[in-house]
Amino acid sequence: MDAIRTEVMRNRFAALVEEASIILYKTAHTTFIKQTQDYQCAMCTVEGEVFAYPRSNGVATLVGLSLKPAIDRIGVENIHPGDVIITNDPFSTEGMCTHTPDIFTLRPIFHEGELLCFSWAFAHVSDVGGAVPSSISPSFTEIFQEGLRMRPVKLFREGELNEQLKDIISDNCRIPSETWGDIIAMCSALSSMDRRIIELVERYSVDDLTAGIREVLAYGEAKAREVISDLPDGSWSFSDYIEVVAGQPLLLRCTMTVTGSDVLLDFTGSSPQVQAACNFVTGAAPHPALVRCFVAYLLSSSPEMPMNGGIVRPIRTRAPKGVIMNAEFPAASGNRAASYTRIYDLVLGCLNQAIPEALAGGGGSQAAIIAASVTDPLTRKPRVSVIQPLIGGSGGRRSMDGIDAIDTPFGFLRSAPTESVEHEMPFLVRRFGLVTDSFGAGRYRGGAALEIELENRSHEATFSVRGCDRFTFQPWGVAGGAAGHCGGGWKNGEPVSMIELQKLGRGDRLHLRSPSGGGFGDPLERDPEAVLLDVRDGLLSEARALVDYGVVIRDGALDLQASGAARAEAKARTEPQDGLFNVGAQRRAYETDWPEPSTVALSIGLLEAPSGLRSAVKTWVTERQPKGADPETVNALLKEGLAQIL
Amino acid sequence: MIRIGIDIGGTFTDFAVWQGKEGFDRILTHKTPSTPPDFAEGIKTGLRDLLPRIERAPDEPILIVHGMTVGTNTVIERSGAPLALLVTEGFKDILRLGRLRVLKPFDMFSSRVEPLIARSEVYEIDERTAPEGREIAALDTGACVTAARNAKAKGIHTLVVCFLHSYAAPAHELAARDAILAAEPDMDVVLSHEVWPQEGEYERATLGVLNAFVKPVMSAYLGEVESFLAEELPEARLFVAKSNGGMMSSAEARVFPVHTLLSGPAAGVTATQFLGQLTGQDDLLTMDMGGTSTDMSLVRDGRSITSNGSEIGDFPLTLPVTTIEAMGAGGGSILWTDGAVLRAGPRSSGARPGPACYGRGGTEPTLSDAYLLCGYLGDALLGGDLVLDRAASEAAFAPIAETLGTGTAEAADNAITVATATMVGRAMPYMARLGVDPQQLTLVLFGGAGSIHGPLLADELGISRVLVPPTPSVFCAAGCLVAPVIHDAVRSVRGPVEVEPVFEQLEAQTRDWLAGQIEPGWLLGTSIERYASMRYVGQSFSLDVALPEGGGRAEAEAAFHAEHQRVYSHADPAAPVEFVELRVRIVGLLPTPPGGDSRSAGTGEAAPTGHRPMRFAGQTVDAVPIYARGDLGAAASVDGPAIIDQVDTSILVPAGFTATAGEIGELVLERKA
Repeated sequence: MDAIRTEVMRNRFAALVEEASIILYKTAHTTFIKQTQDYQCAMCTVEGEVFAYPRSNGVATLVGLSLKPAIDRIGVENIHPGDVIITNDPFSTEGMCTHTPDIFTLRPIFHEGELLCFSWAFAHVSDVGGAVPSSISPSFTEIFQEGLRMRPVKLFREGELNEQLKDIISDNCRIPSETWGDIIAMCSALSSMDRRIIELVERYSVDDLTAGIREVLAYGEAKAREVISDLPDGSWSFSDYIEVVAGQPLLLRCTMTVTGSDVLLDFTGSSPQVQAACNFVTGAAPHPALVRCFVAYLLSSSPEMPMNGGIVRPIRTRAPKGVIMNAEFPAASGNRAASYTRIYDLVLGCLNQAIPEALAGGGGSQAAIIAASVTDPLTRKPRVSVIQPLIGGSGGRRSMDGIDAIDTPFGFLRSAPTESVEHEMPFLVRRFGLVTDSFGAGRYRGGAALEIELENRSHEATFSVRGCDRFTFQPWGVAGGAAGHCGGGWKNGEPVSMIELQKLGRGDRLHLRSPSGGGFGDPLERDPEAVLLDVRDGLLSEARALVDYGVVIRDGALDLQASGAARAEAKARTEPQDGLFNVGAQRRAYETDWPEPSTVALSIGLLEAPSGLRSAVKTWVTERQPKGADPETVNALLKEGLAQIL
Repeated sequence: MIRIGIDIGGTFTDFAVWQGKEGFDRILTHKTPSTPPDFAEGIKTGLRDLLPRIERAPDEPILIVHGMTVGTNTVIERSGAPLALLVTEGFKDILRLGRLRVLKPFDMFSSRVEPLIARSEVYEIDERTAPEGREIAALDTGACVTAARNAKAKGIHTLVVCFLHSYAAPAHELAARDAILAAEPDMDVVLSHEVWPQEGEYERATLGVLNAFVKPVMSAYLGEVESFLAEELPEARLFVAKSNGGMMSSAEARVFPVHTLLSGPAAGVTATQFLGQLTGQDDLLTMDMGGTSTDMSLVRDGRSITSNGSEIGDFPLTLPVTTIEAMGAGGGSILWTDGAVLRAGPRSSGARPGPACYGRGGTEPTLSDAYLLCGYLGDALLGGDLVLDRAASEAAFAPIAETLGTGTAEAADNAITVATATMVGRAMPYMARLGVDPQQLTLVLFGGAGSIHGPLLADELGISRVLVPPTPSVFCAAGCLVAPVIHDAVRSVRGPVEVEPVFEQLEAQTRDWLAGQIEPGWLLGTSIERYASMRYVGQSFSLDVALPEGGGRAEAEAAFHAEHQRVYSHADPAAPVEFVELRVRIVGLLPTPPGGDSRSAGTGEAAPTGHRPMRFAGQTVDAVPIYARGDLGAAASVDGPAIIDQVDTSILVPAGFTATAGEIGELVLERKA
């Protein structure tokens, strides 16, 4: 590594991708890009490895992306100057694209006939056809419902637009001109990166460029290995559930193995793919969704970590074909964000075990967005608007409390001003704030839940909360911290399902509450002053201060003597916790009937069945599985069920 | 009229004086050490030193414009007044939730900024106004009084009130203040709609809170300066620099100090804009490089760029302010090796201990040390007042040299290359955001280190023209000297709206404001600018558009389509357009210095005062000529590589550039064709 060239090139690369990211943002047309920054661009090597990635704008989590499958699909020998490759197909790109609205584009950069690297851009366009506007519904069962699908094909051939392809795209979108506008915005970003790379080559040389690429990647890898080496060697497993398919908690599982400066994340034991849109496709390379938490850990551990694919080189992933995170054709994947979120929690659970003092409790971790639709009285057309994200507090962290109202992996999201929401839609927001006594207790407490109360002022309005989860299983506490709480929904004070659409008449009130974060560490060790502060701030009642923390507060003041006694008594009363995690009463009760090892055995065993029969076999087994059955019993049932059904 | 500009920095307090007739090249400048924490002392000392040097008629009016960081520091150090906040019921967490987003989304240990008011001092008041301005629930004035008394019992004397939709219907905020003052007359009540009546409750509440937070500190400070002036200079009128590049009366600043929070760097941009007018240049990029930071800003078509998306101490500052981009590195930025890679910043040695060569106890290698080791700096700075310790710089760079396997001079040279690349990494995206091409720009350099590193950065960015003002180290004070009186007024609007009456009301508002700032006789004239924040119906973001005066809706829409095309490369003239916000800016023009004739006053052909070996990007040049700035006359041009020394700075002329003196005492570096 050349000490100077590495840093000069790292800065040059960073500048040119930041610039292209701004161009893409500025010239794109549709809402997802403008409002939720769901787009990105980057530079990658001839082998498809990202060597420069923006920090300031766009999606933060794709730094470890591999573009190799798309390049291989076309064949590098068939790629010429001026080509632009386009695709949105998860299956032919090994999950490079993760759902159909994410359109990916790639442009080779040549200098004097030599292929130097690729520029890349993606955008979540607002619609690619399919069964519903915006092309996503959690209940879809196969990708054909999710709109137009394009394997990697050439949109431009040596600078010439493939008009027929453009027509096909346009004919298969509800808003063809906007979608095409987004594609052209991506092409502008690709060209900008191309131009800047050529300028670099002319200022320095091809050799400096290629050496620079090699060096910045090596620098990223070295920094990541430094952080990983600080973890002890060993192997740790963690399971958690998603509840997005009604009445059927789906177990996801990760085993993290650290060997020196290498990491393996193995998702064996996770639920087979389901007839719903929470699946996604991955391939041989470590998929960004699988390594997201680990990458967050790397970036948090070293603020100087370069943003490039070098940092995922030490990470390998394994997910058997046919599980939710490595789904087979033709699985639907529009709503894969639900699984992404829980996978983040799995790896966090493993890191908590690997790091001697643990890291953080589980957060609200639902990727939920409240949206509403009303019919415009004048035009009779429906008006749809995103109201607010409803995520939930983060878990308590090893040196600080959790974040109130939002979870760590969603820290990039922004809420809308209430005053704007009330102008856009005919609602009054009656309340938008934190919930008292909502967080998981801990030495460092979890983040409080967020609550919103909406009053309809129109004839009729329809609400949906896409991405809700954590209906019965609480966000877990760690290292003695208590579990957080689940969220909920109420219409005029009566509980309602968060999955179903809610219709509100004039004057009806809808009340939605997010989950809250689990605590970190023993609440009895929390600084009494911090407990007092929460009480003064109205986030904790005096009663809970005594019960959860053994802290006595009278008339707004600490009674340290009484607290000492209360803590001693509480310490004597509480049974020592078995294990690092407090997963909460609901999950403990569920796992008494459906033990985790048995569910894992079932998931693994089901993969033996032909993929088309797995769902039937699973139903056959679970209908006969006695409460509390051990893995052997489940395996025996599996064998029998398989024989019966075959 | 005599104009005095004063700018307080962490180390020095700078003065610039124009005595009413002479050109910009002849303005008087002065520097005195700053006196933290009691900054007023430095001002008094400086003015006492300066006054005998000013020629004036007995009752000649004096206009003093003061740029300051008193408010800025109060926010950054969180050392302002204890406050309480009154909000609409249901919105107790307005400050705590912010807009949800955490400060560093990449970092698992990041959070939102801690509010300046604890949740326990936020009082929910039963009241409600609908978005269209209709009252839904009456104001509970009794609850307002109870809240005020509770706060007062805790020693809080300043209240902020932010009710939903008060930007459109302020009745409840006004009634709350009336009720509180009737019961507790010694309370100070700040109303969010009076500070800045803009839609968006978190941002508006934050502006109210920031204003209230710095108010007592600012009032005390300005009171002290005012009483000094009343005694020693009764014919002087005190004005305060604003973050929008203009100024306001001292009395106004005591009520609305929030307008000063980003005024420091804004004054330098105002000076640049003025310099551009004098020298006939419309597109300028500023680079203000000091010890701890470098700021960049743009003047396009002769105007500074205004935005309402700035921040102060991690709080959103959604007023229209001159846009400044922080570049990170300064002369004090520390060089370090991360494994085998050489890196520059973001850590800085700050004002204390400062670079190793300053001999104030600094031992880490900084950019200033690198300048010295590469030969760009001589043996002393500030006309000999600060002798530089070369051995200390060498010692500081020794560990890096060892890691790199080079000598210390080569290590320093490499450090500068890396620092330049780091600045390019910030500057390129900044220019992309503003949609400007570096080749069209002139880079204007000021601040202590700007004229050394600036030319190197210009070379790297492809900028062919660099301008160094006559006294770069007091350039912000010069900005205060030339600033006009500026005020912005805003109205959030929704739905089908008659634009013209709203603009007329806003204009009347700004004219009233101006009349309250300064006697009309002092002004040369006023101008009114109209802006609108517009968008296509259904779009979730809006665009600021400058509107032609007197134009109707059709002209406004045409201007919007054109701006949309310019910024986003596409427009849809058939799509319906709506207004989100209307804004009026009034500019009250005051006398400013004319240009100068320094070009003819020069002493002719320049002869170097000496030679030094220097290193540039890996190459050693044995005898680089050093010139004295004062020696450069009209006919003189200096080819790079060269160094031009003046009392307050050194100017590096890179190889391939030629430096010539301009008419108002500026130095222009141009890339040779």
